[in-house]
Amino acid sequence: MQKPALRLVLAEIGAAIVLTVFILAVLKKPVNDDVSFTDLKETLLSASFDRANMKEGSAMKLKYLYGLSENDYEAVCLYVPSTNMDAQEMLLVRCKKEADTAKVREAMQERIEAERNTFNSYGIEQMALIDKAFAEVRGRLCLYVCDKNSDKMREAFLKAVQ
Amino acid sequence: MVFSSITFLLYFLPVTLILYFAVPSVKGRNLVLLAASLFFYAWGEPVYVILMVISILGNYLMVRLMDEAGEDLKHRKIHLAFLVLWNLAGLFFFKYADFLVDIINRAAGSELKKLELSLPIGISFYTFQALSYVIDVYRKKTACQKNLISFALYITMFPQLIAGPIVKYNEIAERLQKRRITRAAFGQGVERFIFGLSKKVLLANTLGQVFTLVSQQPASERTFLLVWLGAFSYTFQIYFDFSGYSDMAIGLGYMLGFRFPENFRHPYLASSVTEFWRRWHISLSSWFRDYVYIPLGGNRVSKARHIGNLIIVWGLTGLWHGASLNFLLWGFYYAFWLIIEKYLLEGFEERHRIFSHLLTALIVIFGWMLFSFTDFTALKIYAGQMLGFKTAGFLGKEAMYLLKSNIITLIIACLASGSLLYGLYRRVREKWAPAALVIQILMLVISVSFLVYQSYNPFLYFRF
Repeated sequence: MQKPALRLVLAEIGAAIVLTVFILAVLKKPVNDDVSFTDLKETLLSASFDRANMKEGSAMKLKYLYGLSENDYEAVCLYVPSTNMDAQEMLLVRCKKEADTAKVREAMQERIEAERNTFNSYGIEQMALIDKAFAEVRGRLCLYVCDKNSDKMREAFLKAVQ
Repeated sequence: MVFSSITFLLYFLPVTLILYFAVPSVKGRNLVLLAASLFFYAWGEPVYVILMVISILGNYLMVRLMDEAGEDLKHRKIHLAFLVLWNLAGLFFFKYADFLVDIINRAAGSELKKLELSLPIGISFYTFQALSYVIDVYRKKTACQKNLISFALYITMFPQLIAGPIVKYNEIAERLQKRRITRAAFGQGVERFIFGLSKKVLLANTLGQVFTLVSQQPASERTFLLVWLGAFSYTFQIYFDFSGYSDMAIGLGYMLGFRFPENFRHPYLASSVTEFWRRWHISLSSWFRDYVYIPLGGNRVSKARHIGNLIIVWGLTGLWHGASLNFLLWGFYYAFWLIIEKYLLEGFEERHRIFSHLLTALIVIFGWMLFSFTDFTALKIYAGQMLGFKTAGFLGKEAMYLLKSNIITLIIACLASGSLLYGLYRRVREKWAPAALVIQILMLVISVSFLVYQSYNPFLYFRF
């Protein structure tokens, strides 16, 4: 084989290997779910989450809105709107074990549906927020956000648990 | 980062422009632009920027080696096939793997786990750009780029990185080496950018809210007027969203000394589906024409083969838009109409101009519903209601309220989707330039104010 052709074949093999390694690395990317809960909470709240019309939710509120008991989880942070005419909300939960995240994720998704049904047909602004709402799970951490800056908060969350 | 965001408008763009113009040489400016583009991409994709760098380095090196081997290289086609597959592998894995898992699960009743990876932003756009370079160098239509910075800039250039237009390498190769930015061209770029921003923020976002509201209304409460109002709103939303973004990209190109191809030419004025696709997302259609349709034989083959070619190209076009069955169906839907037009309605358009316009508009509007609904049951109900089946009446209070609240936006959208409004603006600019400047400033201020106060700022083509 001539020299340029050989170099090309080697480059092709190298390119295939690099791409495969990257894909495997993405698939096996470890999740840092042991990140300090307080730091994570602060990171999220500083990622453009406007708390002007928000208040911290109690354990009772968590049960009422999500059907979850605070004691079942390692740490919980809930922010709810001051009035029930608003859809803005944030819930961050660290489960004791990864298997518990399925229940929390389901509760968060049900919350999105419930909010959709509540504001459907009259709350244009609220529906716009709900359209941006997401429930994200990484390791033992679960996050639900309904906010105009949901994208930024998701980014901040994913970055923090990398 | 999207163009219609405060971060981009108030921080990223001014800083980039200052740094860009502070450097006198083209090489230096290329470097600044490359750094800014990588930063722009890494802002939302800190991990996937690595994938883009792999794509840049891999394509640069392999195409260069293929070029150096020249005609002596045996099995050139095999090397080209490897490069094409290598480029498509990344795209396929990140965009279509879960779609494939879904199909297998449905067909075999298995429970294979989805990868649930986030889609690298703009991967479809930059992969197609890289492929155009690879194929054009192979075909010897363009010279191989020896400068890594210039090649990397071609792939990453932030104005068209995440939503096109898809720029073929030979369209900007010359300007990567040599470009001159005049004050007039810069002004033209600013004007185009402001128009694009206004289309996106004032029209697309506003009408997007109408469609969101209508589509989320319980089906049993939707009236005939309401579903059509929703369909019209979405039709305009998607046009102003995407063409607005293309305008912003083209405008930024002008400001930086580049000329990107036009992506839209008033598509809603088309009087046939064929014409619509000559006016809508032109850079994608021409990409598929040059690299898939013509190599398959185009229309210079038997009738059966031609029909087959159209089905393949439009199936791929549909899938390019998203890894979902509704996009595939949307592609086949257009293949169907193009085949009908080509083989059954030849000459019909010339004989029945107005009817052809109306028919095209209806086909396009129904097509957008297919594009918009990923849930087939919801689509069937909505499309049925558009045909008058199972609606909650004809007008309805809510429909009237929505219509009254948005009638001005809809009229402006109608006028702006043709050439009338821009024609008027041009006349004003020719007669008294300061008035045009005032209009531009007003549009910019209003758009930024909307951005500050609006919570609804989606970008439909972002996910592609």
